[in-house]
Amino acid sequence: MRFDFSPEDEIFRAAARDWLRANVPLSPAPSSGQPARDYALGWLRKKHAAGWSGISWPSDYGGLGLSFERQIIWHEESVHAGAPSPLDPTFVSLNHAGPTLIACGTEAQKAFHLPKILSGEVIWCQGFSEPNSGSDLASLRTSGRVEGDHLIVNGQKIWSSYADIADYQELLIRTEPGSQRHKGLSWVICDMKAPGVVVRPIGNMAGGVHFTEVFYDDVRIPLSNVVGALHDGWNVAMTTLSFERTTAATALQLELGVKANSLVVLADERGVNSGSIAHRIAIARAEAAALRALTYRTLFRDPATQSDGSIVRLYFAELAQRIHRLAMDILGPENVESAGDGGWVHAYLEAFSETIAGGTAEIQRNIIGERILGLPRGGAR
Amino acid sequence: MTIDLNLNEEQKQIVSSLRSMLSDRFPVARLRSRSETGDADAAMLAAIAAIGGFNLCRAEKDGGAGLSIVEDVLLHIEFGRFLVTPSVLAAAIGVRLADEKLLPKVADAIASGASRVGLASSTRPFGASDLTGLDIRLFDSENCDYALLWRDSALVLLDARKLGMHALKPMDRSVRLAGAQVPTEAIIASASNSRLAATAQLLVSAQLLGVAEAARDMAADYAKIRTQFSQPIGSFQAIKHRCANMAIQAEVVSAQLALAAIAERDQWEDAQFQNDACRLIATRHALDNATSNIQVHGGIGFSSEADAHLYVLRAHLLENLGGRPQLAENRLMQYANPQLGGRADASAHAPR
Repeated sequence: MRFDFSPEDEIFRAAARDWLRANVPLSPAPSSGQPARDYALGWLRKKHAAGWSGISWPSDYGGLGLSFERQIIWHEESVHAGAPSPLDPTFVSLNHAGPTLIACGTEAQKAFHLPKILSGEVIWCQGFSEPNSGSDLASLRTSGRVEGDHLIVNGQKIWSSYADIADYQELLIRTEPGSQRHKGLSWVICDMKAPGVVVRPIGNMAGGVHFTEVFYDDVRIPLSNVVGALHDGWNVAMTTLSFERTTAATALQLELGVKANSLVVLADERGVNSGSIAHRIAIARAEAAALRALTYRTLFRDPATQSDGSIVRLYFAELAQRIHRLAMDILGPENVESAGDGGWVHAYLEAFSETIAGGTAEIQRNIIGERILGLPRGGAR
Repeated sequence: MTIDLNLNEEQKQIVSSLRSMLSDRFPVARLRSRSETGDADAAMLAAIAAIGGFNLCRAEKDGGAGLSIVEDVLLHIEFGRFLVTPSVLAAAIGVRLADEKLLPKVADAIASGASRVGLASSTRPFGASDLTGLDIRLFDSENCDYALLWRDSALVLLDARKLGMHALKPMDRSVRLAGAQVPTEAIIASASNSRLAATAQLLVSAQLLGVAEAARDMAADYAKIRTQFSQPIGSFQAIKHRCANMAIQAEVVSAQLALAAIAERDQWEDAQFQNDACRLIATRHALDNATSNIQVHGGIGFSSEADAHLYVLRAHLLENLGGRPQLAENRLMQYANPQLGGRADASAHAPR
């Protein structure tokens, strides 16, 4: 068991830290619409211009070609510098679509899309869930009918964040007529400006509007936009989700540790750092420390398993909710106002999605029970 | 950058040889037939000493194998899993205290298993001046040569033969409990040593993890074989999710324990923070898992005929060793922001 950084790591870390300190935007990120797009792309362009974009991406496609470990160091320093959260409108392109294209895309797809992603020219969104296919993703019904060298897409997706400001979408559809479950699906790149694509924003309980639903009415998508093999979309989608559960989540998990520590100051400033609040803060700090240990262990587990990812994902989600709930209790009467609170009130409401998005807590517990503990599957799924 | 919170080959070897020895010769089922009299622990302690259990992590200059606290933590996870007597903790710390106090013969005898050390606790904090006459509780100590008294950062090596022990009724019936008052002539060495206390606390966390993992495994195994409504109960989400929670709780403690052990070994600035964080969650999660295991087992879990209840009793014995876990909790309130482990950033780790 080791936990060391080499002198070269420290040089990279120091350079990252210096640059971040001088360049992290001071204004908070807008949560939706064109302002959210402009802010996120502006931050990405700034990083790209300074040579910090795509740290562990292959250099052939505009990345720096550095190690996965350097990417982690970058995340650590970003968190400590208070950089914008990676869960912004560029999240899907940098952490879902980009890595998926690198792993499964054609040379033409990579050459066209990856440089645009890294240089902050485009926003991507996700199109997996459907109104009747949430936890049961494999039951999805949005269809793509092959007609010549195109797919004709019809159906509806939902919970697609930032689709209203996106250029492209990673779209999972049923391309083999009559196919069941995981078979006959394809992962395709959808141009959001294509005729027949209609986006309707959905407000959420935090007052934001980053969710949307997307309707497809005879949308023509060239077959050259299929990523991986036609009808092999389930495997490609699992590749996509495996990225979501590793590097991308790291920054969010580390960020939660910083938030847990900041509760001490939040409580001190209000004179409530005693009794039950102090007790809960101590536990939150201990749990956030453990989340960090768990994050590192999972990242560098050999061989990595997806079910390990379920443990860290679920622990993060529920701890995030506990920590935000605690912040609400520390704020007390101040929490009637959703501003001037350091963003806690808004973040508290947003955190309700943590145990739903990306696999509900219940589905994660099924995975842990069945794949780690070897418990039998139940009848109804 | 090397971040590896998993076991290396040598460590896996150490764990597997101890685990197979304990499961072959001293399975938890041994406690069902434990008699009230006789020296139930002698054979087990001798076997542990024989495979180097008290010598592996002793410094080479003192005659040990020179492994680190990380390896000692791994041993104590197994001790917790098999509900081994608290005397192993007393021996691990007793060797270190004796070496530090330049008592090499005492340390040699404990490390080799020739002398035995029992663990003692005090219900209240004490200072060097009020040690004489102090009321203490001793675990499995009737046949011991020494007793190690530990409370907060105070560690005292006592001559167990000079303690007038009287038997008490233990909450954890897998150990024997005695009371005594400390006579001045029983005091061999004492230290106020936060580093040694931190080591002891880490080993308690390790034993708590062993309890948490054992309870998880016992519950999951039972959920696969117990059928109701014509199905294994583990197929019901009410049981499956309870078991999943046990897996999460054990995994979280395990990861933090690995990090805290590395922090202790490599003397990070924030080692005490990591250690305290570990103690807090280990205490909570061990008891949670032991409690859940009873519920998964249902009626037989409440009975004394199955082993499930033994983990609850042991979690309670461990939780207050060395002082209330609230001490670690109180310290957790006092640290400034801990930074990334292993980096020299002293200002970030100092207590406020």
